[in-house]
Amino acid sequence: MPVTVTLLGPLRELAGISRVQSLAPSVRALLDDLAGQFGEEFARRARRSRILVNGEPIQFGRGVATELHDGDAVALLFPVGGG
Amino acid sequence: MGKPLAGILGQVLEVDLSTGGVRTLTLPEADWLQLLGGKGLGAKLLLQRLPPGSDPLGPDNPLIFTAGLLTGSGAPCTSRFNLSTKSPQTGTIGFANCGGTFGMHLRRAGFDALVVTGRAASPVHLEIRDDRVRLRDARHLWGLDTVATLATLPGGGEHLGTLVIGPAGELLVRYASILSGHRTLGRGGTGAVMGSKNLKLVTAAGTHTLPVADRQVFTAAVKSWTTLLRRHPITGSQLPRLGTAGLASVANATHTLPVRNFQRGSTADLGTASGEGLAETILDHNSGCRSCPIRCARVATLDGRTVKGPEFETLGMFGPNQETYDIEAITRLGLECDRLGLDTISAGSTLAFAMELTERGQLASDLRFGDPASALRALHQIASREGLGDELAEGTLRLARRYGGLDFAPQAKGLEFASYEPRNAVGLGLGYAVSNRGGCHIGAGYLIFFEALGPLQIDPLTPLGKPALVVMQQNLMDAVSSAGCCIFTTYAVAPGGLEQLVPLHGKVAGLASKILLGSRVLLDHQSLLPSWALPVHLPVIPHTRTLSALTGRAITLGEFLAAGERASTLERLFNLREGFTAADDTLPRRLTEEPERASNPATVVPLGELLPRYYQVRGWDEQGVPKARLLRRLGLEWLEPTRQAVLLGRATAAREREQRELEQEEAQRRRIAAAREQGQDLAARRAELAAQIRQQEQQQRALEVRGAQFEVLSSRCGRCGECFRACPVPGAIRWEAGELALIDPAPCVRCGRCEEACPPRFAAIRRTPPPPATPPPPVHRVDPARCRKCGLCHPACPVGAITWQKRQQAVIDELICVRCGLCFQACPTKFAAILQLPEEVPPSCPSP
Repeated sequence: MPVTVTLLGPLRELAGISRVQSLAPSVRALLDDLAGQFGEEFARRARRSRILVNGEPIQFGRGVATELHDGDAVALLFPVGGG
Repeated sequence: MGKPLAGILGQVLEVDLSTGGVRTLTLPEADWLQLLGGKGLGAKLLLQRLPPGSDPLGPDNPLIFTAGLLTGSGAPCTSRFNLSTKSPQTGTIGFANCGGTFGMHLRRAGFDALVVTGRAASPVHLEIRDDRVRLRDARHLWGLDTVATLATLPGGGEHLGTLVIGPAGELLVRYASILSGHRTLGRGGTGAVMGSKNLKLVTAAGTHTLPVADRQVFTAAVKSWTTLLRRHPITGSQLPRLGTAGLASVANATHTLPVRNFQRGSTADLGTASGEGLAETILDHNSGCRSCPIRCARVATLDGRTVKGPEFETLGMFGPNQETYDIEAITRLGLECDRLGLDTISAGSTLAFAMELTERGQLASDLRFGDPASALRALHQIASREGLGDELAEGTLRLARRYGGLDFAPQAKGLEFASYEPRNAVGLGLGYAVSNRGGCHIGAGYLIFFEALGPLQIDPLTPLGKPALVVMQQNLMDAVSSAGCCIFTTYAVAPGGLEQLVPLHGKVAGLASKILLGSRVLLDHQSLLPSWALPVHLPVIPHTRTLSALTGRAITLGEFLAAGERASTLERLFNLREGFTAADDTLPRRLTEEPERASNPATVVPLGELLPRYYQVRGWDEQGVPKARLLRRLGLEWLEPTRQAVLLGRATAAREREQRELEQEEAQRRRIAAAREQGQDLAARRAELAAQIRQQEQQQRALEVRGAQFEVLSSRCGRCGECFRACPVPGAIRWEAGELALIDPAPCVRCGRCEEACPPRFAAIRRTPPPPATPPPPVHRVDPARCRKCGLCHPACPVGAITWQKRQQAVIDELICVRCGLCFQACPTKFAAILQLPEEVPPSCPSP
């Protein structure tokens, strides 16, 4: 079972879809995979965004070296505010 | 003596609805400089005016509307104003901040604040037009929803500052709201306070301008501030493009979106219940408050109508929290709340809580998760207090006291939480517990921005450093709100181009989080810092430089944050004085003991660990009472007697409050019964009352207008031509597009139409009453013997005083007639059926 990636905000606009599946073994490989699929602008933004794996922010763990396993849920976030 | 403080009009308007008395007063400059206006000033006035323990729905409880120094100044996002009162929902201070039309128009009318006390004998409309303040009969408006009420105003009230309540406020629903233009004073049941005063509507308009100390510096500061907001990814991109609804998908991903009455913080599929979903379906365009470059409001097309799109809070509470994932259904529920005058957060949350109670078999109702139709029916029942609606109208806490479920009732101090699940943002959880108006995300300091939403994320689960950051954020937000500015401007504090420098998921971002949390070493002592210790302006907090240019006084970062701290301290002392104690700084057990994710036991709010540190950072004692030293540092020594009284009474405070609340509940039941009776009576006579009130107002107007002279004040004329278009006499007003209007006194018949047509923002027509010795203009009357029923006089009358139908004689209503003589001129000479008679001829005589 592949990992499911949720795309939000500007990334969702650029990709034209809200969800995508990937067989990438790590977050780094996943970002490369998505860059290939959705182009340069998408890749540029994705490489800068906040990333959660199964709801956990990866910057407090292993960063892009975080390994992905079957069934994992990855979310690429953009900064938001509101009230 | 130096120059007077700029940035204020200098007058506070006070209206006593019980007596109809109106007076103005001036506040010391120090009040403005220490508090910046808004919620800080509101809290001070409330503390000074309301006796402790007062019934929030009694006549003593004032509605205190305050502008901030920046309100209506033209600086970015400064249409905002504040309302402070004692909340009927919580018994704490109730404050609400709103970007609607009222604040700036109140200032245009010449007032920095409006204080309304007492209770009118029957429903009234408070009309403020510059210094002309009057109470108009509003019995015919009682029972109307907010939309229908505004529709009775000229132009739908678009060019006025308005405050209006719906049926929910009239029937004292504990979370009734007040609408101002397209925005809302939502939280704490302020609409019920307005309803308890029989105050249906307030309008304001005027011609004053705000004095600015240094116009050149002010304009430059505004310009660079606007650029900062436009370039920032949140205020320049996310909020304009997706609105606050854009939060939903990110909150869902970070497990901070309440689902199923706060059972979880995330759902597998949001459907269209998100900013993206809104944009892809019913969104038409974005809009915003006056002077706002962000423009976060949504305008949608639904059922063929152009309507307001939902804010994030509405979306969350009626959406995932009720397991509804259809943006159209959510939008309808939000609109219905606005129409009926209900706070969408409390209404949505109360319904979700009732849904869980029903599911557990503790409450008999047809409310079901995932069934927006059941929610819509319930909203109508709440606003009319019918059936179960009468109990739902009392809010979550009272519902839980009756049916059980206190452990999972999502509220603090009686106020329902906003649409953020705090178990994955524990700083927000602490904020909910200590917020002065109860479970509110804004009063909480909105630390979730750093814990889950914004560009720079700090560890959301650690309690370390969170109390200090909450205090810092609360002070900043309270200062920004008090100054009359939208808190969304604080998002620019997080550097806009951060993601250009470092990947937000990378190790460097993780390190930045650690540094921010580590700053607690300094921030833990922030309450010891004197306000002069930060004599700087920061580019990311442009508020201080702008305030300094506006007022002509140096308002540095230190002074600014101290103003926020004062607001928070005043509000805390108000609550303590009303009998709240440290035991009320709490959260339901669901949030403190049940992990949001079974896989991670740390997903709870460790309140026991957070709270003592928070008190310490704040400069409060272990029982949450501000220390004398703090009051001295903030220049609030005058509160020392209040503090002493709190310390003396704290052993019995909670018990006494409970007793008082029981008595007030009794009074509340009686008031609701009386309100229901009044509503039924007035609704049955609405058409008759509307005609009667219109006639009375026309009569009053006729007395003012008869024989008066009218002239255009060239200094005020807006050159809009409205007077020219309204004038019934060709040549009496000279005007060309873009030119000043001029009234020629010779052809002018003194009907007063020009004065009525002149937009209130100009009020450029001056009316001068006739000199006392002048004989009144002649009475106009139709001579039945001569009238040929032609009807030519009928359309000639500029004030609608003549009634006529085909083949019937014309009749002039002499009480409404302004005696302009246009009917006399219109009547064919051969008939000469309009008589001009001296004043003293009784109406029964057709001729002298």
